[in-house]
Amino acid sequence: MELIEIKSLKVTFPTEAGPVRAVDCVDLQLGVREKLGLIGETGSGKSVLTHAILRLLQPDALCEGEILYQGRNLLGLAPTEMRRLRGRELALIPQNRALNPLQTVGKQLLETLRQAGYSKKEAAAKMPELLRSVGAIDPDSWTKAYPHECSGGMCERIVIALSLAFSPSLLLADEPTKGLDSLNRARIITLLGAVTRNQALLFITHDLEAAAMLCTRLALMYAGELVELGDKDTVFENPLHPYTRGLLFALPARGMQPILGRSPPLTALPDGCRFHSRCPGAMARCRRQHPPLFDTGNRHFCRCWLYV
Amino acid sequence: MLEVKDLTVSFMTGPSIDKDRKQSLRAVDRVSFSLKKGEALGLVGESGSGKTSLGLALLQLIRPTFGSVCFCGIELTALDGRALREIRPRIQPLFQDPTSSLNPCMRIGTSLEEALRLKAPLSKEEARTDALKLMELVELEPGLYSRYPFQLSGGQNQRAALARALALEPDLLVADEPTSALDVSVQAQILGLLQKLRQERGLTLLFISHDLEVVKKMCDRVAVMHAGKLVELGKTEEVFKNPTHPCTKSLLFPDLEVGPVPTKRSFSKAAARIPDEKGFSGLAAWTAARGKLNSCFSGNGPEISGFSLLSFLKEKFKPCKKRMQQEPRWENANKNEELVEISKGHWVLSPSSFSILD
Amino acid sequence: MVLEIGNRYILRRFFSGLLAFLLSITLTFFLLRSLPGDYMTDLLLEIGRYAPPELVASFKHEVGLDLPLPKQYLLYLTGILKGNWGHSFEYGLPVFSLIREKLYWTLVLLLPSTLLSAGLGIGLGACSGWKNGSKTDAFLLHSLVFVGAVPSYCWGFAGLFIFSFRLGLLPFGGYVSLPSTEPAGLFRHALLPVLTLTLCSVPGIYYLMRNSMLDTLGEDYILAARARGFSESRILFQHALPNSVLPVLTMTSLHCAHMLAGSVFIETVFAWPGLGLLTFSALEAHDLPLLQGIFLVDTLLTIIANLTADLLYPLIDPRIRSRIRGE
Ligand code: SF4
Repeated sequence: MELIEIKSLKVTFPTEAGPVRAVDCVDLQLGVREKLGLIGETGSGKSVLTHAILRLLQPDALCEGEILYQGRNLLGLAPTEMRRLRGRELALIPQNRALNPLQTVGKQLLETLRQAGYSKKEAAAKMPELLRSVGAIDPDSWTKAYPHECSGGMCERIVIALSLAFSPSLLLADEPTKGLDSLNRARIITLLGAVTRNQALLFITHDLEAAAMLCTRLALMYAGELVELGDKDTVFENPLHPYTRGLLFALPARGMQPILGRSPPLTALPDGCRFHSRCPGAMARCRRQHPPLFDTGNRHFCRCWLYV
Repeated sequence: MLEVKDLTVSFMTGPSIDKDRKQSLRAVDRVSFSLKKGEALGLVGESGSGKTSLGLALLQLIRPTFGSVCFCGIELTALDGRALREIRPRIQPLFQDPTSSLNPCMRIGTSLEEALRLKAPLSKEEARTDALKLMELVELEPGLYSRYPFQLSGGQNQRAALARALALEPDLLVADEPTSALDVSVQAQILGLLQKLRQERGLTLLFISHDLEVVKKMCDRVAVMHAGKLVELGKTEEVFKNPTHPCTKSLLFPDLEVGPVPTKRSFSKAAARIPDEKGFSGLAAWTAARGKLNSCFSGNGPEISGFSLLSFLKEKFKPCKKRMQQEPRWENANKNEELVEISKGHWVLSPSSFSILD
Repeated sequence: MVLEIGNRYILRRFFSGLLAFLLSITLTFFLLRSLPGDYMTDLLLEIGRYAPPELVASFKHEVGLDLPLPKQYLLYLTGILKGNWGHSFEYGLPVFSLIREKLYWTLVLLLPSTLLSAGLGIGLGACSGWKNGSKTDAFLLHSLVFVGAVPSYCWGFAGLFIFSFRLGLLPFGGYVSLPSTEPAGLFRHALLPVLTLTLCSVPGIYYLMRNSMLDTLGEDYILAARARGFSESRILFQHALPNSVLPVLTMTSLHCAHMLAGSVFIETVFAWPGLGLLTFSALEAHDLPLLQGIFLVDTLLTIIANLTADLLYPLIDPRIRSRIRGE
């Protein structure tokens, strides 16, 4: 059975300029222990999607559709029930290595472990073990440190440790490699791979290479909707959507050819295909009609009129 | 055009958990290099290796503790006050966070005009047309002239910041991770723009980055920094093909995927041999690790517990410092502090006894 | 560990406070000397007489005002150090004891109202920011805008009118005859002025706290804490509140010093025999020694308030702590 199943999810925020749909009709499944990379640019709605899964959006955001977690619709759960799921079953590795700057790492770990149901003693005993599992050689010195005394790579490890305190079944990692140098990036990716061997992982990033190293399936988002979904190798070797191709060729290692223009603001989405103003293969139809997600076989989906 | 000699920047630092209380940290430690006109030099290193400090010291935004920065024959470290202000327009920075490097209360156009007026007194009309010309140069739509930075995307802001730097017609552009806060496709746009400008305007570029792929694409030469020191310097192709210093290798490592490190010269053979003996087995280990990892992730590999896998990986991803400790010769290399030319234009920080290795 | 970092830091802060103190008393000394008019002339003119120059001169000679300025300044400084702050012209009493007595009454108002306004401002601001967008928030915001917009003495009058005149619950003002420290009476007399003072400084602290809370709630670690399933109260008290209180701290200490000056109005309205009233009369009368003394105390209190904030800050914020250690 699928661990999590997102069915035509729409997230709308009310703004002064009228409602803005940050996530539009996203369908996504994630199996047990599956690792899915969610790739998209800033503002493509990938973070909103994760926050919607955890129901952490601001209260006036409107979520439509269904998010089924082990058959239960998360959007219909009572707040207390949802809180019980957060952390325990669905854990978030937040963006920007978010740690409370006023508390020592140890204190925050302890708090989280206590929340996970350990007694004070157990939590204190478990803490070094947890830190070691994310690669701390000297856990004691880590627990005494304040977040500002830790390097970026260290903070990322600590944040990962915090999210592992509960042994959740799904880990949502929001741009964990952002701003890290290549060495630390590689270490964090391998660490993530190692610690989620028994868990499902939703890896949100705009770092294509990191996603390729870690994930088995990739989903690409553009302007709030899913544009391509497929197994990692198929997507990398045979990218279908022009946007995916553009992204791959924009990588420095693959020629660094930029995609012209920029993504449309969510407040003023064009008619037809949302990518058409930047698409080299745009046809007349693309300007008029919004393409659905086509199944091109081989578990590979693409939202483009080229694959009718 | 730019001659840097023995440049040193020290800070007093607070304690971090692995350092003692109160110490002076040499963020940049006796770095020397030179830059020809129109050249692009890439400065790479792990975070904390002092590359940003070096950039700021060149701009005289932090004053070096020691050493000289000679720009077009003018000694910058000796300048002060007015004289420094006069030379500053000729060396312009481009920072990582585009939104915070523009004044949030100033329209894009006004920002540009302010910079233009610094260069020459202009009437309102002239300033406006010049500003629009600049915006065209960096491929910004003229409609953004009267927008505020918060209304623009990261890429557009970075373009505006670049336009503002160009307004002063600088000879040298110091770009400190100009694209690491941007998306991949936008990064490609900005970098392409930088390259175009280099060709058209003969701009000299110091490009600070931790992304080796980008540096490989952008720069003629690379300089590798570690712990404040310049450890390797050479033509980009040469350094990428023939990385010699362990630090360079450790940086290249996560990105080296195909092909062995060519060992043309006996010299680099020797360099590659030392690690082998000391248990650091080079590319093969990486590839093996990769294979193992991949099979672990996909669940059909040998069952390794998370912990042992990690310790295995830790071996492989040793940061520079540790790797050098494993290789005593290289550790000493840092103490002797001497750049040795191992092939034409390829310098490596190494012990003076280096040649004995052959 | 905290003490270890502290010693040098505290010393440095202490010395910079001292320096500020010296600078400011020097400034007030010379400023006061440059005021036009003098005590004797004013006094005589007030009685409706012409002031004979000889009389004025002999008065000046007697109190030492005819000495050259540097000499006067030196005498003044040594006087302060010896605890001899001079004698008031107007009251004929030693300045020090005069101020001490009035300061007591001012502090009776000031300390409770500082604590109260800090507590209320932080509490309401936190509540408002936490429930941003709700009815509570809107209500608090609007009512505090209103409270802040009305001048302090108006609140004083309103309070007097309602509670003393109409309801007759509280005394009209003034204080219990001087030596009385009978708590009930003191409380009844001080209640209205303290409340009025509090009312004026709550809005400022409230706004700052509300904004700071909103900023903190936007931080990723709050989101992360939610994602870990922590209870809302835990997030509020463990994570959001400590972080958002930091910027309010400095503000509150400055507010305390500010209230000292602002209490003139309140003291006038309630006929409270505090430092504010004394300042007013001393100014009117050109009572130089008294004015000097009052300014000295004002400066001292402001510096102490700042010093407290400076010392509290590193206790709460580890980032400041390590910066201090690095200095
Ligand atoms: S639908 Fe048309 S415009 Fe859109 S991506 Fe496909 S070809 Fe391009």
